[in-house]
Formats: sequence, C-alpha cells, structure tokens
Amino acid sequence: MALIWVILIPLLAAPICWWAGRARTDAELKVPLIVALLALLFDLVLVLNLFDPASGGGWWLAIDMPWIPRFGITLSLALDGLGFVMLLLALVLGIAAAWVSAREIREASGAFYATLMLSIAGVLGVFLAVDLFLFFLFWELMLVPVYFLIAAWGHGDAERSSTQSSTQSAIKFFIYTQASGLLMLLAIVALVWLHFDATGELTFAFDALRDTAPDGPAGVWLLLGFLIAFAVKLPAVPLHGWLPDAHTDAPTGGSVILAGILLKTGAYGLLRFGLPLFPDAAVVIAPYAMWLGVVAVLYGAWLAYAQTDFKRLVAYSSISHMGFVLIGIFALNIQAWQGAVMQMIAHGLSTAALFVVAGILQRRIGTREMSAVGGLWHHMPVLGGFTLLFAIASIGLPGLANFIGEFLVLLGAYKAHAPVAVVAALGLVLAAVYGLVLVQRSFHGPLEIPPTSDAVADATVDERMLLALFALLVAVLGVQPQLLFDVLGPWLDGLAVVIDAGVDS
Amino acid sequence: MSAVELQALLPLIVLAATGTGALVAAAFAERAAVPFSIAALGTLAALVAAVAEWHAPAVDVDGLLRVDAFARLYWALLSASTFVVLIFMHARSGVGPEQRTGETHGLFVLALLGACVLVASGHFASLFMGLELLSVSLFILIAWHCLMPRSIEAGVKYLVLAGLASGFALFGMALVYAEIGALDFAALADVEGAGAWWWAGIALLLAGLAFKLSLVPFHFWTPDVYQGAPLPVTAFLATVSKIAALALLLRLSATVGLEPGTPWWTALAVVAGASMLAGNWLALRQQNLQRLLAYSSIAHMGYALTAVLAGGAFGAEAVVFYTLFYAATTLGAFIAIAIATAAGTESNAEGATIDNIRGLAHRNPLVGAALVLMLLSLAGIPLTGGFVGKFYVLAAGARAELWGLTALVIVGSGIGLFYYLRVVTTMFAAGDAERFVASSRLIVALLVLLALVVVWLGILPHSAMQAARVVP
Repeated sequence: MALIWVILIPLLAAPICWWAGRARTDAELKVPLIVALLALLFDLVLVLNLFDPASGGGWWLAIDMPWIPRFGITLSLALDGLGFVMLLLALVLGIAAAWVSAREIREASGAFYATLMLSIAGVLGVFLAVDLFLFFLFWELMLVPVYFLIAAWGHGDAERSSTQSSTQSAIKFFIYTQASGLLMLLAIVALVWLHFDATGELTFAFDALRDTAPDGPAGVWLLLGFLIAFAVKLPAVPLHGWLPDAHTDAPTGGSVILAGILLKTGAYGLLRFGLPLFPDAAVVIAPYAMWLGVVAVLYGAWLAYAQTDFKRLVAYSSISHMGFVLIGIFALNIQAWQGAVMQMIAHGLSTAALFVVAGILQRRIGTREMSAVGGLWHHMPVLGGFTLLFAIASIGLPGLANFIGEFLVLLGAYKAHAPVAVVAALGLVLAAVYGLVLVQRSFHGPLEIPPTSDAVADATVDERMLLALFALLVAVLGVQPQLLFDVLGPWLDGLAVVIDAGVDS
Repeated sequence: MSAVELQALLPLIVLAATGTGALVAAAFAERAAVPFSIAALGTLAALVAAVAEWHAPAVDVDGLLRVDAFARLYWALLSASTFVVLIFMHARSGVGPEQRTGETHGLFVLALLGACVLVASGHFASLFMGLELLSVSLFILIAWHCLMPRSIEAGVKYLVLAGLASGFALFGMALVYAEIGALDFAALADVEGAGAWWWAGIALLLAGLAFKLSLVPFHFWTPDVYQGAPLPVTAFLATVSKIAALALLLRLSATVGLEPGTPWWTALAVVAGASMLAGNWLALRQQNLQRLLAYSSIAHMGYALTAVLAGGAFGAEAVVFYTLFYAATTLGAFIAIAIATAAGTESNAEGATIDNIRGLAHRNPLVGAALVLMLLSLAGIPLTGGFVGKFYVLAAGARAELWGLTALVIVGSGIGLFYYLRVVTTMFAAGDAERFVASSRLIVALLVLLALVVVWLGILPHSAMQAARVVP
C-alpha cells in the first residue's frame, strides 16, 4: 500500500492546492505553496522509509491488484534501487520547483500548484509502474499537466507574443511526446500478442512479458518502438526539436520539472524496460545508439555555444549532457550504467539550479538576453558564485557529481567501443567553452543596465537556501558517489546478467 | 409471425408506435412537451426492452432481420443516444429558430427506427428499408431551420448526396442479385469464385455506406451539414447515423469473410488511410467548431474502419467499444458547444467558432471542464474512453499485423492533437463573457452524466469491454 500512497499523496494534494488558491489576501496566497511543500516533504519521508538494501536484487516492495481483467492489466507497482533513486530525485526537484515558484507565480497560484502536483504524481507513477499498460498510462498522463504548466504559466519569447509562443511550445512538446508514445504503445501491444500466442495468456506484466520477448529482427523492431518514445524524452538528436522551446518558454518551476525529471523518464524507461526486455536487440542496436549519443553530445554543445539567451543555452546544454546518458546506457556494462544514472542525477540537479538562476535573473532584470546584462558579479556576488559553481559542475569539474557521471560513462564506453569514447570526450571541451561563456557573458564585463534599480539585488535568503541545497547534493555525490552505487548495486548486477546473456547468444 | 419473433421485435414495434404517435401528438398538442414526452418515454422503453432481452437467444425473423446480441447491444446504444438527443432538442426549444420543436421528436424516433432496422438487417430488403427510413427523416431534420440559408443549404446537400448514395447501394444490391440470385446475407457467405458483377456490386454497396460514414472520398457533405444543421440534429447524425452504418459494415464484412488481399479489403484500407490523413489535415485550420468536429469525425471513422479491417472477433470487439466511447464523447462535445455558444441561433448563424469559447474555462468551469474532457477523449488521452478506444484500435491492428494502417492511426493522432489542443488552450485564454446562452439544469446534468460515462469508460472499462464481446 505504501507504494500507492507515494503516488496518491501529491494526487490528493492537488485539489487541496486548487481549493486553497481561491484565497485573496497575501498571507492566504501562500497556502497552496505550503500545502504543496508539505505534501512533497511527507512523500519524501515516506519514500526514504521504504529504503531496504537488504532485499538483494529483487523488488524491495511490490503490489499487484487486478484492474482490467479482460486484458490481464493490473495495477502493479514495484520499487527497487533504480526506482528508489529516481523517486528521490523527482521529489527533491519537485520541492525545488514548488519553492522557486513562490515568487514567480502570481496568477492563479492554486491552479499552478495543483498542476505541479499532478505532473509530479504522474512522474512518480512512471517510476513505479511495472505493468506496461500502467506505465504507458502514466507516461501519457504526465504530459497533460506539464502541457498546462507551459501553456498557461509560460513566459515565452520576448520577440513573439508571449502567450502564443508558450502555447506553441507546449503543443510541440505534447505532439512529439504523444505521437512517439503511441509507437511505444504499439510495440507494447505487439509484445503482448506475441506472449498471448506463446502462452495463451493476456498480460501486460513486465515480469511475464520478458520471458517471451522475441529475439532477432522482431526484437529489434519492437525495441525501436520503445527507443523512439524514450529518445524523444531524452532527447536524442534528431528528436530533440521540442526541447529548447519547451524549456525556454516554461515557467522556472516547469523548467526544473522538465529538465530535472521529465528528461530522466526516457533514460529510466530504457534501463527499466528497453534493455531487460530485448537484451539481444539491444546488443544489435548499441553501436548505432551510442553514435547517436555522440551526435547529441557534440551537436547540443555546439548549439549551446551559439545561444544568446541564458535559458536557451542551458536547454541546449541538456541535449549534450543527456547524450552522455544515452552513450552510457548502450555501452552495456556496469561502469557505464553507474555513470549514466549518476549523470542523470547530476544533470538533474545542476541544470535545475541553472534554470533557477535564469528565473531569478529574468524576474529581476526582465530579460534573459546575456548581451543585455553582463557585469552582474559586483552587484550579485552570491548569485554569480553559485552560477559559476553549477556551470563548472556541468563542465565536469572533479569533485562534483557530473564529473563522476561523465567519467564513468566514458570509461564504460571505452571498454565497449573505444572510438565512441574518444569522440564523445570532445564534448567535455565544448562544455567548458559554453559553460564559461555563460558565466562570462552574464556576470563579467561592463554592466549594461542601470545599477541603482532593484534589478541588481543579490539572491535573497530563500533563493540562497535553495541553491545551497543543490550545491550540497552535487558536492556530496561528487565526493561520495559510492552512496549511490551501493543503492544501485543489486539492480546493476541483475541487469548485467540479463545483458550478458544477450551478448552471448 | 410467431410470439417469439414478436417478442424479439418488441423494441422496433415500440419505436414505430412511438414515432407515429409523437408525430400525431405534435399536430394536435399546443406545447412541444407532449410529443417530447411521448418520444422520450418510447425511446426509453425501447432501450429497456433491448436490455431486458440481452441474454435471450438469437432470433431470425423471416430471414429479414437478425435479432441477436449484436443487434440488441446496438439497439440499446442507439436508443440511449437518441434519448440524449431528444432531451438536447427539447432543451433548446424556445432558443432561436428551433422554437417549434414538436415535430422533430417524432422524426428522431423514426430515424432511430431506421437505424435499428439497419443494424439488425440480415437481408438487402431490410437494409435498404432501414437506410431510407433513416435518410428521409434526416432530410427534414437537417433543414429544420427553414428560415436560415445555412440550414437549407445543408438539407439540400444531404438530400442530393444521400439520394445518390442510396442509388449506388441499390444498384450494388441489384448487381449482387444478378450474380448470386439471392438477397439475404447468409447467401453472401457462400459465394465462391465470384465474377466482376459481384465485386462491382459490393463496391457500389460500400460506396453507399461510406457516404453515411463520411469516409474520404465520400465526405464532402460532412462539414457543411455539421455546420448548417441544428446542433441536436448534428449530434444525432454524428452518432446514431454513423454508428448504425458502421455496425452494418461490421456485420457485412463478418458475413462475407473479409480477408486481406481481396479487392474490396484493399479498397477499404485505402479509404480508411485517406480518411485518417485527410480528416485530420483538413481539421487543422478550421475556425468553426462544428466543421472541426466534422473533419475530426472523418478521421475517427478511419480509425474505426482500421479495426473493422483487422477483422476477427477481436476486431469486432474493438469496433463495438469504439462506437460506445464515440457516442458518449460526441454527444457530450455537441451539448457542451451548444451550451457555451449561441450556435445555430439568429445571432450566430454561422455556427460555433473557436472564438466563441474563448475563456470558457473561466466563465463556466463546469461546462468548460466537460468540453475539455470530451476533446481529450477524442484525442485519445488516458483516463478517458477515447484512450481505451484508441488502444483497442492499435491492439486490433497489431493483432492482424496491419502495420501500415496502424502507423497512419499514429500519424493521424499526432496531427489531431494539434487542433484539439488549440481548442483546449483557447478555452483557458482570457476572454469575454458574451454569447452565452442560458441553459436548463437538465441539459447541464445530462452533460455531467455523459462526462462521467466517458471517464468511466476510461478508468473502469472492464464491464464495457465484456459487453462489447458480441459476434456480429
């Protein structure tokens, strides 16, 4: 039951936020925020209590209830090391997204926090579902609230009409994800029919389907169905078209959710379902997928360098960083997977932090154009310091979590296919270029705006607390990555056994 | 005719009596409430009679009508849909040019009778009788706003094209008769080594049905009629008429033994693919909601046809479930639009546009939420009946390994999202509160009920899935 409550808590908090948002006085307007934060904190404590390293490689906890017997569809949720880590990431970033929205969201705040809670509930469902129908349901369902986050509260591009711009971005995001999601549904259904033909049983349960998942060309086709859906979310070039617009036009809280959690659902899906269902096909596809990852690393970095908008730069850098995750997943060895998961978490934290900085700058100065600001360091030393920290974290400074992730991915990729690692390593150089450009353009040089206004006030206490939390997590994981690897250990070993069987056959 | 046969035909007898009764009552009664009450009660009685006989054995009435679980299920669905339409029509009496609605109720019931004959037909004679009863009643209903040019235009367009389609179907039957010398469906199943007349006849018959389903390239009447007809009539046309034609197509294809590779399977596959693409594509730029829904219905019939083409017991189940959710969703969408805009009245003769519903979610959250739900259901978003329907179509397509058609379903859904989301976003935009028609509590309650049905089909679809497992 605990697993159901993990999803139910934010789900139940949503209508309460909505209802509380009808208040009119300033003090009452904080109520939806407080409800959202309390719900997420409570959820976080609940998830932490489920920590159970003693149970080895299997599920720590699982529930299974009938839902649609006609198709053998069940409400089955399960938790293991990977799921645990992803839940923690989702909840921490969910808290951050609510926290950072306190100052930004002035209109319809009750509805905003309700939508935020619904999107988090959807993501938590994705990380817990082990019935493929249920997984797909959550996968699609989380789109709807995120769509509204972008369309209704987005701030769009200065050059276009802002509401139109954010609506277009939201629609683009939705169509990309939904259409690719239907391909995955088709692959799931085909898998179910194959299982039905083999056993005479209709079921969508992951554990049952993996026994009859096909090898050979059929397996490759089905894996491609999954891969396209997941590659859109990752995103992998050339399916990344939705990302820069959606991330840029979303409100800060929405960007945190998008970059921090939503992108991770694609990688999670590959690790949880893609590889274990089709180990043979994964071996066949691996070289191509790794090279796609390399393209994403270099192309994303290249485009990031060319951006003049703070948020757009960070958005394009996400494409580059998630390219490492794709390489890590398809390097098909334990080091690379460790690196991929670490990179997912590190990217989630550092990119979310940079989006928070972008939100602060936009609110103070009214623009994210880096050419229009510059020289802010003297007036905002604290914010500048944090920006520098997260920028060099993204570059991969040793001692911070991103370094561990990228290093392990490259190490694992070198073992699997050395040229991939060699070319992908160039991405680190490009990352240094755009990362430093980001800091240099916005915080150094001459100040382009009048320094007297409130515009150049430094980070407030609540902003400092939030950024310090991100910094702490990135540093702790950078110095003590073993904390994460211990949690993941049994799951990684299990996955390695499955894949090795695929390599041998 | 034996007692068993009479009992099996009870819903049809009730409908025939109700239809004529309501028409006569409309001629004498001052108030529209009298024919409305007769029609509504009669439709409800037919619904109850069909449901009560649910588990009764199949009855073959003189080789003309085949009353089995399939027919009874559709009788119940069509009667329930018509019941909703009757309330819809009555709630709008006094609004705009529909002031005098008395006679429409009898016509609706007669059209329903035609649809019910159609889904139960086992013989070309009964098929044609049902088709004509449905069409002729619709001619009058579509042109009911006889003072508005749009309505007249729609009525004439439908009259000419429906007449042509009936002619096609009739000529097709004649050719089939020339080839096999029989008119009952059972004889169709035994045809072997049929010649050119046979294929030409079947093709003409299908063209007639494709007109009713507004499949590409027989779709040209759809947007104009959807825009010009009174909204309740459009709702009836979009649900009862199309669902009956689809059910008939399903039964015909199951009888003839639809096999991939045969000429008319291929022809239907092309038609289905073209409908999905063209319907969604043409809907993209529509500013008029009624036209938008018209094009979206073309696409939806393409999706449903994919399941028909998949064939087998599972394909039939998919089609039946698809029609269940489609009826509830489409009726809900039209009712929500009717409440939210002054469509079809003198002040808004061009019909409901997207601008009319700007800001609806703020003005009237209940109706706004219901319309959002219906649109999401049409788009196939989870937790709505539309999602389960789309799941069924994909599952049926995968079962029969129709990868090309399922790919088109996915492409079509992707394009479709764009215009559904555009409407949804407009509803949340800031907007003015003008053009809001006062609505009766009854119609709002009906809308809420339909919304609950759509959600129920999306969340707990098991019982509906079991009901959908009927053999056509």
